[in-house]
Amino acid sequence: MPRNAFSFNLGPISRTLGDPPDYIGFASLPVHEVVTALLGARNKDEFIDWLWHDTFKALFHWGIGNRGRKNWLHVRDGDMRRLASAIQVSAERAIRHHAHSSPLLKERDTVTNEFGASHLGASARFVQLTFKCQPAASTMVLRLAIVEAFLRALSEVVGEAIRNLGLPFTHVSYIFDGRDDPAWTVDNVANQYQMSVQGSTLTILHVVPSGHFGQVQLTVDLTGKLPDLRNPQMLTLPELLTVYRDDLTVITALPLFIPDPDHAVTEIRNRMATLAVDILREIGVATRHKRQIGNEDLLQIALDEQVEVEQVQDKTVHVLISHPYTLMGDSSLKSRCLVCGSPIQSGKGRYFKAGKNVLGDLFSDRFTDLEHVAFEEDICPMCLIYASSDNKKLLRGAVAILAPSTSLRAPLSHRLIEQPRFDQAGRFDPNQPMVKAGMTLQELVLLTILSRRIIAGLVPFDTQPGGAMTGNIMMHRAVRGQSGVSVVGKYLPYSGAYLVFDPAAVTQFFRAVFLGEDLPGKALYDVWQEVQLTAYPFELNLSPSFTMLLELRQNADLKAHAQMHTFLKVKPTVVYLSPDSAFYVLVDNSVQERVDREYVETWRLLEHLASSAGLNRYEFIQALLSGEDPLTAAYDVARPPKGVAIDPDTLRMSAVSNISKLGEVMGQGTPEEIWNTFIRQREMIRSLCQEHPTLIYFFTKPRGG
Amino acid sequence: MTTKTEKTPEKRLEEAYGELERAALEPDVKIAVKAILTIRQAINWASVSEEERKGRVDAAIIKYIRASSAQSLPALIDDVLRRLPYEKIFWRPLGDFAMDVYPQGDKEQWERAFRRVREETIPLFMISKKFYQETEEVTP
Repeated sequence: MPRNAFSFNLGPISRTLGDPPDYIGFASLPVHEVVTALLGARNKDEFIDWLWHDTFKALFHWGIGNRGRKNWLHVRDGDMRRLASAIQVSAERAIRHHAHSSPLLKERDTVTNEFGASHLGASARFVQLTFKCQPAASTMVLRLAIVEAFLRALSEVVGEAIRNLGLPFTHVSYIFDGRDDPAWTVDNVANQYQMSVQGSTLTILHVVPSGHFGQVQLTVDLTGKLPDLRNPQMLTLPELLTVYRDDLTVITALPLFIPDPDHAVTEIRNRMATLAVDILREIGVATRHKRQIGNEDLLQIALDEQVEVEQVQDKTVHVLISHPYTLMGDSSLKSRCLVCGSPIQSGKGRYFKAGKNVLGDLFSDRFTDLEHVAFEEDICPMCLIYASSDNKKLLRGAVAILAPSTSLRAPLSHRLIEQPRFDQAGRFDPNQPMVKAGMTLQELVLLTILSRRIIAGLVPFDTQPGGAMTGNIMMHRAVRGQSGVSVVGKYLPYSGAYLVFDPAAVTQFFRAVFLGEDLPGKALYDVWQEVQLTAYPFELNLSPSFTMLLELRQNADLKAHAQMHTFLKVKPTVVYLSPDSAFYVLVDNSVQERVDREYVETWRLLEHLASSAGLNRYEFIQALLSGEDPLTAAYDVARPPKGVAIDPDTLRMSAVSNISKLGEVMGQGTPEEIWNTFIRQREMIRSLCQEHPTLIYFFTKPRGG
Repeated sequence: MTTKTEKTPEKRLEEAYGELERAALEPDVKIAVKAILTIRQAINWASVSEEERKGRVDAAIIKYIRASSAQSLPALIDDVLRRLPYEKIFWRPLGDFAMDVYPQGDKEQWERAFRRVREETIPLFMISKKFYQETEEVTP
């Protein structure tokens, strides 16, 4: 069944970029206003100012100002005073937020409006979590647990600081309502804007003068509580504070209204260390190794030596993103971890006691995967946790691990929905299209927000509270005729990461998400299409991403597979939502395959042929891969199921007859037509099989096969 | 037993050959299909039970084609007919139609047809059924 692409609408755009401003800033107005508040406010009043300072941009009233410049006429003194008085605040600072004499910090110094965003805002504060290790699979779960602890600690600290501001609300609800009456003037529409505080929510109603705009509501939770997966239109602090995120670093905002930033960073670091212990306990990762030196928790050693949480000093974006590699380039780090290759502090014996058989001591006497480890004699603390024989489930065997990521595959494409009716300056003239979409800090924030929602939309399982720190991932399945629900993984709510460790659940995830298998009652999305983002007056196609580690247990023995150090053989992939996306899958403990759309389509076709003819998939596909045409393959592999009394020859001819009727094999028509179809399809299938000889590994071998 | 009495096997085969000649198929494909038709028309369907009609006879022909070590198309046909159960075959002259499976003119075409029959037995078998169905045959 065809699936829909992910589509999001977080409100109209808030900015155009560049000089002249011919680039689209596609982060929505609410994202812009809240991020500006979190980055640029120094006190309660400024925080409120920034939350609504651009409210009247939603009118899209453009005029031609001095020297022919096109101006977004959004600072409407009278209307802004009216709104401000409704919530009993002053409008003066918000009205003057662009003035040279404004008491507010300039937006260009906090949210970096300049095109390209080569630097984070000079006046804003940021805190960075950095891992001093390679992005290896062996440390991925541990890194995600630490990121979760970091984002939770940050959200708590910032949430407390917001609480200390004494705001009269804890939530902000941005409502954009499309209303269209050709008789309305700008003033008529502006008069319909409202702002109010009811209960604990500040509500800002924007009227978008358009017949093409429906209604969008976006609610911001400023409490620091965990994100609500069920409501994609709710933005929370860990999402809004995350400026950039990849496998090795997370850069977050640290608001200026926090009085003592150094103390706050220390507090975040300390809380993170405590929370990480609890998170790892809940997800079942032991942080000791029987051969470690001393009795100290290895997590603490890892946090001390391989994890850095610091306030950002150099705000150059590329410097920040490459910071993990700068740390790893420290010349005092003389040794290398034999598992992940990360530079570590000193030579053999710092972290663990080992005899001559280092690998045997680290892993087990049965360790045989020598080709996946280096000729070093040392191991980093994080990989020592991975190597601990106490660890099962999440660090061994079948897993599907998904985590949000900020990266975006260029280029973006965009389409103007319409020229807003109050665009008198021709800013959005269809005949003079905007050059392209630009990227600034706010777009980075938005991309990570989208990435979280994409993962939540892809995972075909429910979540429910599983402990104080984590959620349980639940799968419905039938056991001995009884339907039941079982825990198949852990969900990390602040970081938006999913850790699935049940082999059946991993397979179901893979088949549902990437092979397009339907799951009753689940709305699933097409991972091979770009994401549609509506940011009025534009619609954009984006390829946001997420990070994934995927390992199946296809033909490996259950017990052996669970004991194998399969993480040595697989690597996490950044998966972009686009037709040419590709990722790695470890099929079992022996084969890693790169899967792309063509691979999946080949797979679907072969499965369809096999199931239509009632054939064993493994044997049928193996016959095709060996060069047989579909009819001959069907004839050769058809055999009666156990316990079914049917003549084998009759069954063979029946299988051939069934498969020959398929349009993908022979189809219907005149003899010439069906023969030509057969020849064409045979060559196509043969070509696909030759290109993907490893497909067979994804199918379950028949017993005794 | 389902039989029709309208046409003799020769008549039916003649029609099938005619239809095949008119089809826009490559010459070697036509020869290959003729070879299979020549085998199938020799079956005495009257002696074939309903159960056997469902696939056993066809599967037997396919099996013997694939198992044959004959080196030419006529030899292959002969080989298969000899292996099929005696009582299931009409041992009668194959007639002029059978001459089409003997190389004439461009011998390469017959070589290619022979390879097709060996390598594409099942698809050719399915195509042959578009020209000649056992249920339309006559029990003489």
